[in-house]
Amino acid sequence: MSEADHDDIRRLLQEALPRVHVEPRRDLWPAMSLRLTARPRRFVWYDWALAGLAGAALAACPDLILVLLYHL
Amino acid sequence: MELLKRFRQGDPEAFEALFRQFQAEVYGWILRIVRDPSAAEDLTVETFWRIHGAHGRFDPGASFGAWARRIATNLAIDHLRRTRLEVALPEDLAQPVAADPIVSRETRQQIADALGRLPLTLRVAATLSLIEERSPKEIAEALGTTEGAARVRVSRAVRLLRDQLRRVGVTR
Repeated sequence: MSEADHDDIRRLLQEALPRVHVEPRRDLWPAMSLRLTARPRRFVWYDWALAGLAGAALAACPDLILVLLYHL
Repeated sequence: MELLKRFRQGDPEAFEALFRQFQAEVYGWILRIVRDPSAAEDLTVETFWRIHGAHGRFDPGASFGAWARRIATNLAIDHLRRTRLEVALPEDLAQPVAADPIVSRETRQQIADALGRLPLTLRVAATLSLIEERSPKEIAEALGTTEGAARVRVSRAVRLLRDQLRRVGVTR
């Protein structure tokens, strides 16, 4: 491959896809700051309540497992 | 240097200062690769999120910009792999096209398509080298390779582009 080929391709690419020269459209720090302060997802009380309720229901009526499996 | 040491120790103010200092550079670098401003913004924040998480591994004697570009490049390549975005550049992003362009709109699209068909690492190397005219050193740092390997990738990209463009009649 010659240097001329290289220059040809460079010229064609630059014609087709000119160089990008832009600044960000906005300050990105607020988005970054939000990301930094976002708390990891945690279980809240009603998640535990629901899990407890489901566990209790299954303990009381083990046949429910079959119903659940059928629907899965 | 002092700022980089403070950043390494996890100082939030140092991180913010570095973010403000480098956000435009990182955004511009990512935009050159993905050519989508909205994705570039998200990836810039993601890049700094990774940087924030890895502050303890940063060597204050090294170049922060090069480190950031490396992380940004990896994320940009992952993004391209996931999305397979079109290469064509919206006009408002580009430098104005000459009044009497040498290549027609159809040809421009064929060239963009040919670039889009290249393997991602070659496409990124070609974009940064041939369109954005970044140095082999910068490209090598960003791709995590040697300057020699970066030059080889550009040459392979040129060879593949030349063959593809020849096939569709853009070049002889």
